[in-house]
Amino acid sequence: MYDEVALSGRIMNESYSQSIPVDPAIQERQWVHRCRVGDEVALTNLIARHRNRLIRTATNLLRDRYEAEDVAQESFLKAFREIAKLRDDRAFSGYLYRICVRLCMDRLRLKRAELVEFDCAQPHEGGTVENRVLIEKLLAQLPAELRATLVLREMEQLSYEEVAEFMHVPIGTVRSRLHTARERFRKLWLEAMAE
Amino acid sequence: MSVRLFGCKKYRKLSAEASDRELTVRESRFLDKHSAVCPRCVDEVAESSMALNMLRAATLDATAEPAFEQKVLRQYRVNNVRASIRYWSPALAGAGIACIALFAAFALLGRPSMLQRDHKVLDQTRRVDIPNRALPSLVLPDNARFIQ
Repeated sequence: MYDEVALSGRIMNESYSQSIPVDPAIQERQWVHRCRVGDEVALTNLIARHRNRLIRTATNLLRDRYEAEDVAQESFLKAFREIAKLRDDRAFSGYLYRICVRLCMDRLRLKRAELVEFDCAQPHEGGTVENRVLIEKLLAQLPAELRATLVLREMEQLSYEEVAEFMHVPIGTVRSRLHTARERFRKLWLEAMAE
Repeated sequence: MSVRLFGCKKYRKLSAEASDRELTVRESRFLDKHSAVCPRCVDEVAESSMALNMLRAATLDATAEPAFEQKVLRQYRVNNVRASIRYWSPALAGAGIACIALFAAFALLGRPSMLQRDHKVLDQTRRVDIPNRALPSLVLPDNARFIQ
């Protein structure tokens, strides 16, 4: 029952045999409130609501599906463990994605810019194989902050405000970083094409 | 001075922002004028556009595995137990030490032989001769018997 409510955002009213639409934002606020006291059903609902988007974002940032799942799991656990730091229940979504982006950037900083080998075990998504390998190679050469800004804006199609919120920086910084990232990416792409 | 010399940076910036927001009429006119006189800028913008299109085409659309929630919930419970153990372990350690101390104290009290005493064991006693003192005599009946 809770999964249905989580995905559809509607409550079945048995007496009237009609579904009552529930505002997903209000629903989420209630779940966050119950999470603070350790309600596992509320935890499960929040995970069900955000898991796919979180894993998608982490996958595009890290370019590794399995590592992205680890980061997503870690993000949820950290968000629930430190939920007392969240002042407003409405801001849970931004809080969760902020943790995810920060964890992804920490992992990116640890990685060295080296040639990424194509993993045959991963599904063939994201265009042709050559395109994907090339893009991963180019992204690996960008600094973590520029890479994250570029991926969140171009791949995840987030607005400037959302990128600023997830990266916890002002909008002006996002604009500046995006401009620099695009310029650097273009130059790297030209060098790769010239090879 | 021509637009070509000083407008390249502004042209590239506005071209990039054109995909993010709606440009004003003045900005659009500037782009049109500059692109007419600066083919290098037009080429750079085209290259940038191609590179970003390739980037967008490489977007991965991953979804969570079915058991993802159970995995997170399981780890959440394990973390809670660990946190609880870490919280209570100093108190438990103190209680354990107190129990051991009490047990040792009771054990010591329950073994009198371990305590030092003033008297000695019988076979170690020393006979003291008392000079010039008459010892009391014990008068026994003629038919006295000693039961062993």
